[in-house]
Amino acid sequence: LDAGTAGEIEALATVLGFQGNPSYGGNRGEDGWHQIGFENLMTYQPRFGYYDAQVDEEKP
Amino acid sequence: MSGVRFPISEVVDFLVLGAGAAGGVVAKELATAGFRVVVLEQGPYLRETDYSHDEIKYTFQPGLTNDPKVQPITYRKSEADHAAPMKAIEYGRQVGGGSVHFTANYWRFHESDFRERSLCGEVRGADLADWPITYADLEPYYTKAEYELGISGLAGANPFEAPRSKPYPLPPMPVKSSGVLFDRATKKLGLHPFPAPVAILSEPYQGRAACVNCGFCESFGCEMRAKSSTLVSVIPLAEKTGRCEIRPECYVRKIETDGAGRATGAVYFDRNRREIFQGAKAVFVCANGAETPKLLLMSRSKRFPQGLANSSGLVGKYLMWDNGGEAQGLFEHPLNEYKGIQVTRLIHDYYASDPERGFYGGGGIDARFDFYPAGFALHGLPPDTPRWGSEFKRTIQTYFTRTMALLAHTTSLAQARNTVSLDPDVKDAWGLPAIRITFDHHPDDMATMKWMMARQIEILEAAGALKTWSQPYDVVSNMPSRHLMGTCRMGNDPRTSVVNACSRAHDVPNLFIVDGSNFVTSARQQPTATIQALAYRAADYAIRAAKRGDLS
Repeated sequence: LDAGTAGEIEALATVLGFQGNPSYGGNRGEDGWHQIGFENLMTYQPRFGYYDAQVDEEKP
Repeated sequence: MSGVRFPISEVVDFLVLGAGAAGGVVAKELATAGFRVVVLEQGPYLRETDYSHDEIKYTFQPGLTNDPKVQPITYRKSEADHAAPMKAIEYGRQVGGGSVHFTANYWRFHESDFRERSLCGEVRGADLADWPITYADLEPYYTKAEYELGISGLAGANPFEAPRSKPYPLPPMPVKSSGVLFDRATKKLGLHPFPAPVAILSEPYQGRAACVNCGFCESFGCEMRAKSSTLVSVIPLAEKTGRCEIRPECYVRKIETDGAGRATGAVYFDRNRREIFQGAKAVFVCANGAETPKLLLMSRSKRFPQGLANSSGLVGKYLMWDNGGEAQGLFEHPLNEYKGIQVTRLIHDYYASDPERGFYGGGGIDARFDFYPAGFALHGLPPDTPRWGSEFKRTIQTYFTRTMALLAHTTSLAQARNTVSLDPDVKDAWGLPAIRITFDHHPDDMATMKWMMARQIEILEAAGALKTWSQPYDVVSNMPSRHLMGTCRMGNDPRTSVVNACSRAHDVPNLFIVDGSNFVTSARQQPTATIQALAYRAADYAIRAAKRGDLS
């Protein structure tokens, strides 16, 4: 990781602890990801979001 | 690794330096044509089982890219400055090279890209030149690349695209919410959105499975082998011939030449840092737009005191940058842009340079989301949002699923003062000189990015964004540059170019140089399709020359 000011390093550590891969010890139970709506699945099906689902409904 | 292993003492037909987007293609072409080939690659030979979705490993640390801790890069804005360590450039460093971790955008150049000097005239302060080849010369090789590698897209959907002899082999990828919003907004503005051409399989192809929309393309290796890197497409075909050895973790320090000025092979450090010489009848350098000029400059000899293939003095010059600003918008409903490939729609309406704008340049704009959770929290939020405490958490919760970005891909003019050179002081872990980057934007390129940013904001507003914001795009903000172009320019005149129209070095008859370094202009970024088309074309030429006995 690149060095930065003390404030930047603290912010980086906080964010990585909250949103990094749980294998590093933070984001316990993927709680940080759940809070922001990131599902962390290996596959997803189309109709990913609200707007592309709308297009699907418009089709006959 | 499943290919043949040649004894070190054996002089092979071709030595290929670099197993990336270009080198993988060249190796496959040469080996399938019947030649014995050794490919030396700096990085490791990884498999899909070696990858993961670990954002810290692949985006905060150089999981699949050059590591400045062992190979420092130095940067300065101009020759008058002292270069200081900074990761100014980034490239894929494994078998497959950048084709492993790239976002997989796969644009062909337009016909105009090859003759912009004729079309636009001189641009002050730049060395804008026509290419020695036309789009028509390259078209069969674009087609071959699309079919051999596996590219998804929709032919004819982009009214500005150059003529193509065949449609894409695979249909476009499923559209995301960013693509739908972009479609609606650009059509409202009278523009022409089209499905993104990508090196990702929308359907099973040549024994590989289709993409499962996991969303981890940019910066990551594909665990499904659905991203059409050379690692999973052409390199296995090269190895299957029994005539191609991919030798990973081999770092070349010098291309050797004989008394007649012909390349004889290369000296490299193996994984145990032993020095080994591998002989060959002809050499292909495909090490990327930064490592290629570095190696040529390091390959000085009595006969080639300025470095190999450098009688023009242009090896390392005309470095062009990965230009384009990013704008973002917040929307009312969840887009969940983290699902699926990064880019599904784009426009080329602003691609051509237009004198009415008052400056040279143009670009494409794509709708995308190229953030992962931690990177988004650090770099993806509007600049005026809180960075601390519960308010920060609430902001991420609102924005992560509701944000999309528009990225512009814009011109970078060739200027002789922008260079890759050998740092006189800083050394890497092998004791070789660090790559020193000297780079500053041309004023027209800055004007293009600014003008395009206004278009990006217009589109986001037309799409109904509740709020828009943008990322800065000065030189330092656009670091590291990942499109390494221009440092061994292609041309007909040996005084003003390094390689000829078929990527053969003007100065050394059995030396080919093919990768982004050949580019005469940057077009509008997204160089991979053109790198690979040039590689197919150079290999075709080399095979015919070798069969004529012209290389030995």
